[in-house]
Amino acid sequence: MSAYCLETKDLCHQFSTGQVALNTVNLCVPEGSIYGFLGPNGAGKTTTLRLVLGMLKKQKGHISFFSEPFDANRIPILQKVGSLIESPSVYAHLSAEENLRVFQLIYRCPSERIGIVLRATGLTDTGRKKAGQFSLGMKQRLGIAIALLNDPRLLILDEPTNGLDPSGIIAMRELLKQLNKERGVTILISSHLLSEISKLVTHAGIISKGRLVFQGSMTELQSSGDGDLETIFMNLTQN
Amino acid sequence: MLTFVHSFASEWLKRKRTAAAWLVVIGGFFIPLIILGARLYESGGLAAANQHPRLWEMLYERCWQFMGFFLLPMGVILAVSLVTQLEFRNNTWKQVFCTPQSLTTIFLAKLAIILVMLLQFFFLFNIGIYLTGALPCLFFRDVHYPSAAFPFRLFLEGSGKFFLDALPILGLQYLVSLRFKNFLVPLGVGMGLYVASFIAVHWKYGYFIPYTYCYYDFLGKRSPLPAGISIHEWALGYFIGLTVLSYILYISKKEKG
Repeated sequence: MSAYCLETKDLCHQFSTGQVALNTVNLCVPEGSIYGFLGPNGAGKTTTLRLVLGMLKKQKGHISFFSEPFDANRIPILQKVGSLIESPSVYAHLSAEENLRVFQLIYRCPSERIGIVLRATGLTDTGRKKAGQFSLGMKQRLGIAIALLNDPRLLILDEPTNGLDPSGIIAMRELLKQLNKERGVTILISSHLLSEISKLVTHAGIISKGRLVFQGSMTELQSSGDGDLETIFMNLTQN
Repeated sequence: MLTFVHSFASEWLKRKRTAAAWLVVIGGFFIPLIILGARLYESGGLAAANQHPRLWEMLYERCWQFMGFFLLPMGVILAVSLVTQLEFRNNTWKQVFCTPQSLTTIFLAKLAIILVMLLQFFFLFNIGIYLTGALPCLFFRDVHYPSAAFPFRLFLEGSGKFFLDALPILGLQYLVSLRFKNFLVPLGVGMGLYVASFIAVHWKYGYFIPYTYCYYDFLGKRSPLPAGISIHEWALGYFIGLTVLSYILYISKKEKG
């Protein structure tokens, strides 16, 4: 059995304009890791994440979660995965609790999970305030709460710190570390800022112009070139 | 089946406090409230009117006169667009597609919500008509509760016919609203076909346009329909066809969310 929570083989994608978005991407996210998916803007991070979650129609390659092909096991796999892709998806006319109730009904998880994730993301005091009146940071935290609702085995977060203030970024980093350490949740987190997530991740995958130019542990990344992490990252993405 | 029930419950919660939910309630009581207001204002003849043997039929015709060809199609166009566009407006399609439910369940749960809202509207509208007849006796001493028996069958049959007439509008609006992110597209298509139906209704092939059936039903015996044409069969056929087409387009969409 593979020790990877998520694995892609020769994943390719081309936009309708003919532009190649992904070129044979072989992503391997080890079980129990915090995997930083890094790359400059437009490198293909979001396209990869949208493909693995089935939001984009797969053109070429294989995707498997927990050693099972995604195509044939979409529903049982999604039951074990939490996700936040790009900007938060919240119903503006509903409160935080109602937003979570919408998804709790679908995941069929215990109602107590709503209180748990509200506390974990610091949204317990929002009461009946509608999500449309939330700040961007609060919406982002609600998006993370939705991703955590089903107590996922794998958490996929696409640029989750967008819109968060420095204290929000630190709080989220601690929350993700805690989830990984105490509950064994594997986390795949994408960012275009290495400095932002280097303190958090155990493994990294670096994508540039649709190609995975590095994949391995943080120790391997540090020993893969001269200079600090930023310099290594810059060298990898500019070559 | 259980997945569908949970998905339906989730969709039902989403419509809470939305404009579409209010539209159903306000739309259901709008015409009956006007008629009730008019009856109370012209209270002189109320006592005699409430004892008229055809009171319920008269109230039914007065209310449906405005509802049938005008407000019902408009309401369906608006409500379907509002419910379906909820996901586009809140940028939530991507989150919905990442939940453990099949695309078929998502499609059917949303459609079921719209159908239930339409039934809810008909229920409220009929309650409203009943109240236009029953309420005046609470305001005036000399006005008694209507003596005529309430014609349940007439109300049920009439509502059933208009429900069928509205289904093709619902089907096409659902298709367009699922397809296009811009709210103006389903609204524009709906309004355009609605206006076209007014023009086409006197044309001998007017029944080809799926938005004409409410108007034909409103015209009743004055309808210029060719003999042997059943608009209800056409309406049902259009609804089934449009729903199947809508489903195919929906599941074959390359980019979801």
